[in-house]
Amino acid sequence: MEQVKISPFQLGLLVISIVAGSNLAPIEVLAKRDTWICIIMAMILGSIFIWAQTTLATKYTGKNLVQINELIYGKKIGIVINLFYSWYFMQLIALQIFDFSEFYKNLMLRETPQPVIAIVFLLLCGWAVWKGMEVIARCSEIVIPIIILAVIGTLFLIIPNFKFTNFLPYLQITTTDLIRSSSSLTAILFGEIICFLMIIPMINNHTKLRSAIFIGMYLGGALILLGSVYVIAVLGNTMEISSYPLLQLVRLIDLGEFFSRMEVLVTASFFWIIFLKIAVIYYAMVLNTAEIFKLKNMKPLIFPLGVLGVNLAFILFDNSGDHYSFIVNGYPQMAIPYQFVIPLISLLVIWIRKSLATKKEI
Amino acid sequence: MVILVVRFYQLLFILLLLCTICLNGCWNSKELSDIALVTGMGFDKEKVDSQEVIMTSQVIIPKEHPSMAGAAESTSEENKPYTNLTQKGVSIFDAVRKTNAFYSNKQFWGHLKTVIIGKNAAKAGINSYMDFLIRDHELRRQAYILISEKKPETILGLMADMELIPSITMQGLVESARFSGFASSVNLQNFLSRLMSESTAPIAALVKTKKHEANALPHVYGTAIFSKGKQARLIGKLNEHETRGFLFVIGQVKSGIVSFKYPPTEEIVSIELLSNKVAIKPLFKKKGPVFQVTLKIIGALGEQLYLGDLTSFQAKAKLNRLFAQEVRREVMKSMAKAKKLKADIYGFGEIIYQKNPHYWQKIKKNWPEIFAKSEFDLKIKTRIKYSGLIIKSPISN
Repeated sequence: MEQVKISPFQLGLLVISIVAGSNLAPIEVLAKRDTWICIIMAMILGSIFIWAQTTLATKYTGKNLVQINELIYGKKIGIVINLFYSWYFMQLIALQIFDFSEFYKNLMLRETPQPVIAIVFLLLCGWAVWKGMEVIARCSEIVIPIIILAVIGTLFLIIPNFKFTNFLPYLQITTTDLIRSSSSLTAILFGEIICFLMIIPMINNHTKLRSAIFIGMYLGGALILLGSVYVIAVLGNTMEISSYPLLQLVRLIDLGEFFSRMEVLVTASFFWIIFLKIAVIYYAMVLNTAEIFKLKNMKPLIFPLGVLGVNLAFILFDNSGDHYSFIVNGYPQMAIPYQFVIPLISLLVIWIRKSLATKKEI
Repeated sequence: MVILVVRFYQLLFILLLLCTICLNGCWNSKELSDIALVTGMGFDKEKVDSQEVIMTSQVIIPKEHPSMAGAAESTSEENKPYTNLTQKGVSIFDAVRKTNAFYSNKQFWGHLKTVIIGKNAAKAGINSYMDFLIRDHELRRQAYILISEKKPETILGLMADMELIPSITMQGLVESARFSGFASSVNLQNFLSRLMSESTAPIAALVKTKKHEANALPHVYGTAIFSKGKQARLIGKLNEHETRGFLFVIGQVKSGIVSFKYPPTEEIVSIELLSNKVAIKPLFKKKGPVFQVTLKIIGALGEQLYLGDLTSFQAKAKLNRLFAQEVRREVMKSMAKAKKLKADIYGFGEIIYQKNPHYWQKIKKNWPEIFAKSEFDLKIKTRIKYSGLIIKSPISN
C-alpha cells in the first residue's frame, strides 16, 4: 500500500465535507419547524457514535478498520464483517450519487440523461481516488473554505425575508417523531464518519486525531443547523412541500433586482462538497476491498467498483420519492449497525478480553 | 523516412486538444435568440363550473422593442413589442404545451412577472393553478398574483405609457401600490404561505381597467379575499381604504397619504405615512380570544388646506387625535368586512397557535365563527414628526 500522510487539519476539513455534504438529504421532512432541536440532539447522539469510532481507532494506532476487525474477531468472522462494510460503503456511494444526479437533473441539466451525470461525476471522483488521499485532502483545503464563505455570504442576502414567528410554537413535535428524526439525522449526518476509520492510519499526528474529528463534526453540524434555521425562518410552512428547501430559499433572494438567481453559486458549492464526500467514501470502499483481499495495489479496483456503484444507484431507486421514503424509513435501521453497533461490540470484546487477561494474571 | 516518435504525454496532449473541438458547448444550450421570454400569464374559465382552462401567455418580441437597434421608432398596434396567445387546455401545463405549437421558439418561464387570474377561475378556486406555478423549475416565486374582473387577455393587452410590455407594467403598478397602501402586493411565495396555513385566508391584489382619454389603462387596487378549505375561492373584496386598514394591521403600510377634514372647518389636512409598527397580543378568555392590537404610526405633515397654525401644542394634539381617528376608521372597516366574510386575513389564528397551541387545538375546528365573533382592542399611537420646509401656511387667519 502507498505511503500517504495527511494532517489533522485536512482530516477535520474532510469530516466537514462528509457531514455538510448531506445537505441534499430530506432533513426537514419529519420534524418540520422543530428540525433545529433534532439537529442539536443528533449532534449529541453523533458525539457518542464518534466517541465509539475514535476510541476503536486509538486502541489500535496505525491499523485501519479491516485490520482492526481481523484482529478482534479473527480471520473468518473478520472477513465477513469487512465484506459487509464494503457493501455498506458501496450503498453509501449509490445513495449519494443518485441524490446528486437527481438534484442536477431536476435543477440544472434538464435534458441530460441522469446516468450521464452520475457516470461523469463518479469518473471525476474516481480520478481523485486514483491520485490518492493526499490529493483529496489538499483539494479540501482549497474547496471547503470557499464553500463556507460562498454559502454563508449567499444566505446573508436573505435576512430581509426572515420571520422568526415561524419557529413558534416550540416543541410541538411528538416524542416518537423527535426520537425518530434525531436518530435518522444522526445516521444521515454524522454516522458516515465511520469511513474515516480507513483513513485515520494515514494521519501524521495521532494525538490530535480525536479533536480534529470532533471539531470537524461540530462545524459541519453547525453548517447544517444554519441552513435549517434559515429554511424554517424564511420558508415557514411552505418548506414541507419543497424537494430542496435550501435551494428554494436561495431562489427567493431578490435584493434590489441585482442579487438574484444566486442558486447557481449554491449548486456549484454543493457540487464541490459532494465531490469531496463521494471521493472520501469511494477511497474508503476501494481501500477496504483491497485490504480484505490483501492486494498490494488498490488501483485496479477503482474502476470496477465505481461501475458497480453507479449500477446499484439506478437499481435501488426509480425517483426521489422512493429515495426519500428509504432515507426516512429504512436508512437509519440499515446504517446504525455499521456506524455504531459493530464498533461498540468491538470495544466490548476488547474490554472483556482485557479484563479476562488481568484476571488470569491475578 | 522520418519516424515519428510520439511519447505518451505528447499523444495525450494531442488527444485532449482534439477533445476541445468536439466537447465545447453545452448539451442543451439555449441561446437568447432561441427562447421566447414569457413575462406574463393569465388564466380564466368560460364559466365558473367549466372544466377547461383558458391560458394566455405573453411573450416579448425583442426586435420590436424600441431599445433595440432597428426597431420601429413608434410602437403602434402593428408592431408592439409583445404578443399574447390564448389557448384552451384541460390543465395549465396542457395549455402551455399547446401554445408551443404557435411559437417557433421554446417558451422560457424564468422571467415571469405577473400572473393574472380571471374572475371565473378565481370563483372556481385557484389551488389547481398554483401547482404548476410552484412545481416547474423555471418559474420563480417572485411573480405577482392579480385578480381581474375582465378577461386576463384584455388586461395583458393594455398599453401603458411608461413601459411597453403590459405584464411588466403590471409588476411596476403592484410595486408602486406599496407607496399608497391602496393595494396589497402578493407574490407566489406569500400566496403559497397563506394557502398552506391552517387559518390564514389567502389574498391577492385586484386589477381593473380605467378609461383614460381614448384608451384604457390598467389600475391595480384593493384586495381579493379567498376562502379557506380545499379550494381557495374568491369570496370578497376590500376596496382601497379597507385595504389600507388591513395593511395597517399586518404592518405592511410603507407609505401613503391619510387625509381628513380639520373641524370646525371643512378644510382638508393630509398626513404622509412614514412608518407603521404593529404589536398583536392575544388574550385567552373563556368566551373567546381577545386581540390587543397596538399600532404605532409615524407621519409627516404633507399638506394643509386649513388656514391655521398647526404647529402649536393644542393643534398638534388635535391633529394626532384626528389622524388616529381616521386610521381607526379604515382599520375598523376592514375588520368589519373580514368578519362578515369569516375570513381571517390578518393571521390571528396563526398568532393564537404560536402563543398557545393547546388553546388553538380546542378552537381550531370552528375558527371562522370564532374569528367572526372575537373582539379587537385597537390602540393607535400616532406621532407627527416632520412638517416640511414651512412651519405654517403662507396665508393664515
